[in-house]
Amino acid sequence: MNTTEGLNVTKRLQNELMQLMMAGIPGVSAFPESDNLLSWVGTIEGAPGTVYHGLSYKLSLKFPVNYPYTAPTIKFTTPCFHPNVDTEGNICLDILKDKWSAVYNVQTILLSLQSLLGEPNNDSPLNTYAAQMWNKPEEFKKQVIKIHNTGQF
Amino acid sequence: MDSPKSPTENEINYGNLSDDTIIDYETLIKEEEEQRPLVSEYDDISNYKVNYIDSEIFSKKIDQLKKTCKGYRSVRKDGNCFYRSFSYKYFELYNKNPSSKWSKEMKKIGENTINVLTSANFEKETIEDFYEFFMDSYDEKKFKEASFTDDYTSNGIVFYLRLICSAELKLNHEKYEMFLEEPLESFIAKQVEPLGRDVDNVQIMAIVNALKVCINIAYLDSTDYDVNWIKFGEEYQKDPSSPVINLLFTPGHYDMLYRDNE
Repeated sequence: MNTTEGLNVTKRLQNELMQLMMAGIPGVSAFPESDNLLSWVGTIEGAPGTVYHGLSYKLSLKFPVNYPYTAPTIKFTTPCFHPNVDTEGNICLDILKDKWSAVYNVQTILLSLQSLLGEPNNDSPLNTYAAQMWNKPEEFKKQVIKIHNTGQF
Repeated sequence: MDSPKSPTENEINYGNLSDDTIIDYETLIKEEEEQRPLVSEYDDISNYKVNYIDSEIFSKKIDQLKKTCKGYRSVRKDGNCFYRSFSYKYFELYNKNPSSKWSKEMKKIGENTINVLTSANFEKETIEDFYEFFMDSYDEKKFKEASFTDDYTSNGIVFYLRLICSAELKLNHEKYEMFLEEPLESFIAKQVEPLGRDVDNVQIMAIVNALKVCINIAYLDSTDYDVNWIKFGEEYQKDPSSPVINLLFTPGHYDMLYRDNE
């Protein structure tokens, strides 16, 4: 890592952490994993009125040294049954891929993921089984809870 | 310096390329490119090289350029070449004579961009860092020592220009929408704001209108015609002596060009 680059990304992430803690947004949070500021653990709560309500999901956030010019790599570490999340926890969300912009930050990402839970994009599913089941909320919810609690897809 | 030799055109069998080979080759090109400086030293125009244009046509065109141009600077080929070339030339012209009428006007417009951006719904806190990198370049010392030597700072400037472009497209959408093949919002999200996306004429027009500068681009392509010059924002060149950003286009890439009178 180039020294100035390291300093820059560190400064940026420190600011983000501060803002995130001060904002205190209900239902989303994130914190560096250890001394390494490039690796965070995030948590999102399923929003009321969605099948994910009452469930909490952990995420891993890995920041590249040229963040925010390149998007962080984000994965669910809690098993998540969702049309746009695969069994490994990989996420298909446009703002983390080809629509990434350096104006986004950890807060906007977490809020986007929280709303993705309740509003999947069923046109480009990573989990086709989940996409097909989306229209049967009761069955879907059972699956969500089972996978969340057991980790067995 | 010993570096792995990249395959030349003759060595590649285009019929048998697998996806993996293409990806490997692209990665190799990308890695080699990342070793190059963001902006190279000034060099004489006769040393300008392009490897994929028919050499006879190309050298004829370089000869034409020599009549009015003396030199060039190359920028890294990373999809940000237009923004990088433009901003380098823009700040270089500014720092050459910060007290000129043109420079004072440029800085005033530059300073105001943060207000323009917030009026286009960008949150001030999320763009302040990039604005700072951009404004720092109006300082000669910072321009020389950081703006285009440090990747992080330079990408910040490139990104800020992309935001200026994005705000101009949003605020004056009626001027640009007719040139777009997709909805404005999706064009901005996919083609303007992400780093590494090339420009089209629409983005060039938006930058020109937002910063009120004149850009003159020499097009060096493989056609058998004379070098084609296209001026964007001629109305912003208030008198013939006021600075113009001269750029050199070869298919897929922009570099900087220096005319004899610069």
